[in-house]
Amino acid sequence: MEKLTAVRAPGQLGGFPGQQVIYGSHAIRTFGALCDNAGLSCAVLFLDLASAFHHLIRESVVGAWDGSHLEPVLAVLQQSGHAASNFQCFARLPGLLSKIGIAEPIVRLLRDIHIGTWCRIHERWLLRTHRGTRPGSPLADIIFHALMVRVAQSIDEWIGLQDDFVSFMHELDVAVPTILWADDIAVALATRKAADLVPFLQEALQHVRHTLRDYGFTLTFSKGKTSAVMTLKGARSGELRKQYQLHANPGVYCTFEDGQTDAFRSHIPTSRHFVASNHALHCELRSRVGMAKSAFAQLAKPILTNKFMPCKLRLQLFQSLIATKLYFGLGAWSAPTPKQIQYLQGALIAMLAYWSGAYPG
Amino acid sequence: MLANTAEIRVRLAVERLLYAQRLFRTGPPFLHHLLQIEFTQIEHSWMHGLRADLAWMEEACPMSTWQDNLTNPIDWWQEPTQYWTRLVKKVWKLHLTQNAIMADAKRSMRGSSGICVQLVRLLILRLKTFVIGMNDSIASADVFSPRSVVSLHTSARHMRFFQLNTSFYRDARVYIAVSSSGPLSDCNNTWLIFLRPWVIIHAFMRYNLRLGRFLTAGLMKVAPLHSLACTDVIVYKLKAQPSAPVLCKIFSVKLPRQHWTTATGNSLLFINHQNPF
Repeated sequence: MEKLTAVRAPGQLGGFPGQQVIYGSHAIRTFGALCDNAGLSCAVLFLDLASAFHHLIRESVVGAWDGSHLEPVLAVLQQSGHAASNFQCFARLPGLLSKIGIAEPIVRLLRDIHIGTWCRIHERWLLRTHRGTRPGSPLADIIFHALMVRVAQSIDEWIGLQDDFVSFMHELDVAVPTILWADDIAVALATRKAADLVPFLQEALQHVRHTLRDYGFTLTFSKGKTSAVMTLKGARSGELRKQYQLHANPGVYCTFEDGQTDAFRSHIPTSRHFVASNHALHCELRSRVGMAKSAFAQLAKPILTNKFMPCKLRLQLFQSLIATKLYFGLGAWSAPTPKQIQYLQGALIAMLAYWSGAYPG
Repeated sequence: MLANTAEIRVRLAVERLLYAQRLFRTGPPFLHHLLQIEFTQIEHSWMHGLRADLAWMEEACPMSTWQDNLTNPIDWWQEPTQYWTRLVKKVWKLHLTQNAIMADAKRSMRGSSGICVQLVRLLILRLKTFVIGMNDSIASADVFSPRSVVSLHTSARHMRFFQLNTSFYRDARVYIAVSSSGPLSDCNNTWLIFLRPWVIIHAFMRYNLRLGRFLTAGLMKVAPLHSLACTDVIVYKLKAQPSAPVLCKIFSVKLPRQHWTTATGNSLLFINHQNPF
């Protein structure tokens, strides 16, 4: 991972030392606030990869050893609609790691790890892998992050070619790269006019889908998966909101190059990543309080209000199991309004009152 | 104060101060740049919040002036050291302690429990002047503090916090008066301490503090003995832990005003409703 740090994409966070998941959401929220301030329409495209780790073709990263055991993989890819011609080259090329400048001994080491490793099951059976690491190996993530370096670079290159977007980002003196945390990808986009936003999003989605398919990945478009949180500003924004967001089935149908049609959803007011279309904190607050209350309801009777356990221990458990859920990412919040603070305080006091036995429920 | 937890605003400040260090040390450069731009363009940005948190931290634990210029703390955060984390946690504990004291005071003023209520009633409503005898003393954590979940902290830890020169003590109007005939160094034997509000009374009694630390830190104002007539006056020396009946007996003793200045001994306690200041 140290070698990869030098070549990683600027927005690639997951797996690298010192990086936190909250940096990504903080960057997206800040980008939204800046676009709001500048009167731009913006959107964040959240991409969901179907079984990302299982779709990783290891030969594309470490290079093929002798090409054996690759045929079943190519057959599966062909069945799922990927062009097999894209992957035939794996048997010849040195692999992505060599291309991004990783030293040959390290590439060879990783290749060895992914070919012919073994593990023992129940002390009796020996499981040998033809390709891929043994189950649960932490080394499996390394080549996944290596592959995502290339994915992020590809998306960033495409965004860099969008002259209009680049020009007003220069005006704002802002640059937000594609943000990746393992298999979660977020792409921040903006346009001057509200009417241009949806076509730009569709275009971006087309490119991203194409890039990901080149590496064997598939996007999922079902509800709650690939989605975009749009903030429409300026002329015709009300009309566009009605068209794309304010109805029972919000979203846009996209027809891709291979003729397949999928819908991605533009959620209102929020996505599951707690980003609201008005870039306010309320949806994150609601979800945090909801998670904390749910955890509290689950643990209250057996642990937290169990009078047979010492008070100090119960308090420690409350702080570690409940308060951490409530306060997750608190440091990255900008400035909650007094009403929002009151809401959070009320939820905390209600739980603590129940914990201390002041009132039941 | 419930369950050793502060209000959300303070929690937010502490979390943001800790997060800021991590962010400026290991966070991605593009995010640093975004935050700088947000700071210059938006009024209630994250950095504005951070600056307010630094101001709060300075108020609680005076060290240097950070809120005017964020460059120094940002430079500091980029160094690989744990000192910042320790400092923020220290301020957090200090805040929790102050909150605990305030909560105790509020509870006792509400008249919720025990000897504490009786003491307050005696001090405010009935007695005007009384003196504690030479060999008597007032000091008790257990007698004065109501039983509650608040009592999770230890006195030893609190003693550390009270050395700090914070606005908390200035706001609480703590005064000390020493005998006009004796030097300041004699205050170990004779202490006349004007306390407002009750929070400090409880703080002293509960945590068995040595008042000499306040003197050396310059936290207390020294007044001559003849000016004694504050609303709430307590003079005491910590020696032993008296029982509740003994305390009541002590408080019922009355002494004429002319004997105030002549009263000497290890411990004294005056109560008078007139305010001399």
